[in-house]
Amino acid sequence: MTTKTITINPVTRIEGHAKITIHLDSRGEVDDARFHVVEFRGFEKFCEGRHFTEMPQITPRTCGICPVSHLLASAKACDAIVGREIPPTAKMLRELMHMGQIIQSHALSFFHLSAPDLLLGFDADPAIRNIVGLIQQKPDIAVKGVRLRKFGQELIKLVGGRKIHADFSVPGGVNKALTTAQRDEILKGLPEAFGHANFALDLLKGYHKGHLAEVEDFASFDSNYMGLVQPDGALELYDGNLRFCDASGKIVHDQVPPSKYLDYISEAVEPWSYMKFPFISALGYPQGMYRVGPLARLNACSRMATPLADAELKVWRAKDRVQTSSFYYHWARLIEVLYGLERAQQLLESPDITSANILVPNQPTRREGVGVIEAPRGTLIHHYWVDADGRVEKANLIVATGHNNLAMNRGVQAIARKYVKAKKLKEGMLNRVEAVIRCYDPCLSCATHAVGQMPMQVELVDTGGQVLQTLQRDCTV
Amino acid sequence: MLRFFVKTLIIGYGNQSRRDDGVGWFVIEQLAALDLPGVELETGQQLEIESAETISRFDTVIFVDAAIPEAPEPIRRDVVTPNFQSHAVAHYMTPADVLSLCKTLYNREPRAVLFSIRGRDFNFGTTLTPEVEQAAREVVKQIVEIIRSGEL
Repeated sequence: MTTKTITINPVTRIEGHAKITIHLDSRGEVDDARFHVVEFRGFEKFCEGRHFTEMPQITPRTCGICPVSHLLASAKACDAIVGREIPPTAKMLRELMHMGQIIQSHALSFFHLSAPDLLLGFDADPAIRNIVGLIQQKPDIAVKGVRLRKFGQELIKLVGGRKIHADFSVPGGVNKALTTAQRDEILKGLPEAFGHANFALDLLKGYHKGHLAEVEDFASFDSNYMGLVQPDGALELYDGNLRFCDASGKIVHDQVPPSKYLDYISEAVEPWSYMKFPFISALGYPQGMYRVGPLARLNACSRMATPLADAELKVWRAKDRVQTSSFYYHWARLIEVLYGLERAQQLLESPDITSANILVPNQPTRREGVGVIEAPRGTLIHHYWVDADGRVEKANLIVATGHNNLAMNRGVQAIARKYVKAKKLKEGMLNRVEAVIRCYDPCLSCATHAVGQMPMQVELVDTGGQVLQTLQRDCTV
Repeated sequence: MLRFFVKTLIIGYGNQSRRDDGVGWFVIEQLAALDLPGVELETGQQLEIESAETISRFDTVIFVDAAIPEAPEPIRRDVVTPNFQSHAVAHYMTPADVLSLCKTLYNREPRAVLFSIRGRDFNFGTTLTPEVEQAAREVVKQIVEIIRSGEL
């Protein structure tokens, strides 16, 4: 049987370098689809030999997009090596900074990456289907997105001192207290941010209502889910224990201490990708495929821990207890923005938030430490092994994009089977394939940012390796 | 005559943990030691949406970035004009993207130039290769001349 391959390289509007190949059979039907990650992660080796107290400064450089998440997960792993509880105010300040990260990252994802597709249409001219096109056609929406993201960024800056790679969270606590003036400045910006978040939610719910058939079926497939929860099952983003549930929402494992993750997660390797493919050990590979991130968290949790977000969760779950369509990632993201704002307000209104008791001594007392946090894109695990002097002997980092690897492949397959026809390569079809990847908002920026600035290329290749057709969208080099 | 009245922003960006990708940071460090009047310096891992607002407050913007090893010249100097690319990775933006966003959002269009310094080694590490460090020092000289003359 003759097989054709359509290659989309690179995926636009995601970070790093990746490509999608869609394998067609002789009838022009989609046979298989894969999301390839071609960059090799060498960061863990790079960390070996460094003193563990340096890790919160080194590991955020993995990524310019979610450095706060790496900073916090790393600091938590280091806390475990120190072996002492950090002061309550330090924990609150870290969580506050994390809420800023959730807000700004989700705002970027929704308003700037996904909204052009949703509001200008998948089939709109690519020249205008971007943030500038959105500003020109719907300036009020784009400006709200900029403002909401800026609120999150400013929160991070006020709490940590810098927007990117803040020198703030250290083993044993944090090194900077929050002043009352800084607290009040953040609080002052909250009402506007709530307004933008609610606006975005209304916008998305309106889109959902108007495109019900497409969104309910958009890269919809069954999977397992993983996320952090509080002791009563409420959603948790900074701390808590792991919960795994299946496609029906039935709990597979609950209240798993993050330090025990290796007892529950295994990793498979495929020859066509440098990324590993994590799965739930008890369910085997590939049946144990699970998703992480906003959709997974909302599927896994029993409730949201703040009132406005919890009310929105009930709307989100109105049709089914568990949502399988990848479109629901966008919606879940906005509910988490609301949660982030509410939680930030709770933290800021605590009288302890401006306490100066923020750090304990950070001498190593243990040879191993695990730090887990719910990053915007999903569960982020930092695991360090150190020698008696505190030098890193081995590091293991599992990022959200890694957890979602299998799920993204399934999503691409689902969408490709529906929209891609070999003899009619239309931009809108290809964009839908990309759009499903953007639902996961993957971040692959372990690579230098110089990589990935290549033209978008679509190739049709037969089994003999002959290129039958090439489409290319030029870009800046 | 020095043009103190022109507000200039110089942004060096890249990944400092990827050897030559951090050349933009190196250039900024060298410039910081010169304490140039009317100049603000900024470093970052990459350009972002907010960069549009940042540059809107300046008359002139100088970007310093690393270029891929396949670049034909060790130093490339390009005047940048607003041009948003439809495929642009929104996690990562080009100077032309940022200028376009700045013009669209804030109705401001600062003069801009991009220095692209060809990298040789993008593996993990925090030092520049000698060739790239030499090119970076040349870029520092050219930037000082821009500040002095006001000519891009």
